[in-house]
Amino acid sequence: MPQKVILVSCGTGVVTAETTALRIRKIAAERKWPVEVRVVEFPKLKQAAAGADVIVQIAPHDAEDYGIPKLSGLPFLTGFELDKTVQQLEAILLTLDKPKAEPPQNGL
Amino acid sequence: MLRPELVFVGLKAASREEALRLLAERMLKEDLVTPDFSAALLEREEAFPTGLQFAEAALALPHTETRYVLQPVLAVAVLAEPVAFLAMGAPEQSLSVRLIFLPAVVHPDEQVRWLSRLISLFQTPGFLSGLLQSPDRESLFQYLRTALNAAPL
Repeated sequence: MPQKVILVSCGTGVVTAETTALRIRKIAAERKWPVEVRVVEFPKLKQAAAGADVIVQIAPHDAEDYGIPKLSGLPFLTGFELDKTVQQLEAILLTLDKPKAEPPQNGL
Repeated sequence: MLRPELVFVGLKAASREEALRLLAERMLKEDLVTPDFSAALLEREEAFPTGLQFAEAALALPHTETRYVLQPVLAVAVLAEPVAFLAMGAPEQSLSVRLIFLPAVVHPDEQVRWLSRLISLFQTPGFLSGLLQSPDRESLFQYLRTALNAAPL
């Protein structure tokens, strides 16, 4: 699959986001996901989402629609339901790979 | 990252605010943080709660921006009695917390490796219950230091 961008976001982008990003990079390397993992401060998330494929959000877990899939990053910190989250993330990355339907052509 | 003077066993605090203030004051006294670290820490905890529930115990991982930190350090406290922290990512949930890990970070990319080790420890069976059983500061400090050095990334 072509390289995807994963955004990791928390309140200040310092401790929890950096730690989560390190763990995702490790899992990505093991599973050979071609991804770039970027840490982003929560206030800059909306802007960053435009150039990314999936968001891993720690806190606040808001209801905002950023136009790309969003997962909770807590399992990377707690280990609770981590396997499930990794599978979800992998499924999202694979879904992104599917060719998009041709857009309708105007006037034809 | 660890310093014996920033490891506490049986710390008495009536609330999370008091616990965080006590730790921040001690860090200020050691010239590790700026004078406004305490207020920034408390404010951030209210905006972005850091309580985490693990199988053996709940803990809090309070932290704030790097600009309030002069030297990287990890302050650790085992409280005498639990205080309420709200859950990270689920602030409607209140956790009863006796363990506080307060990382003060200057360069996240450099310090992320021991932070990740710490997270590995949280997930290691026996680590948190062992921590709660440490009888005094010296044994807690040694326990933490040994565990952190041995923990996987």
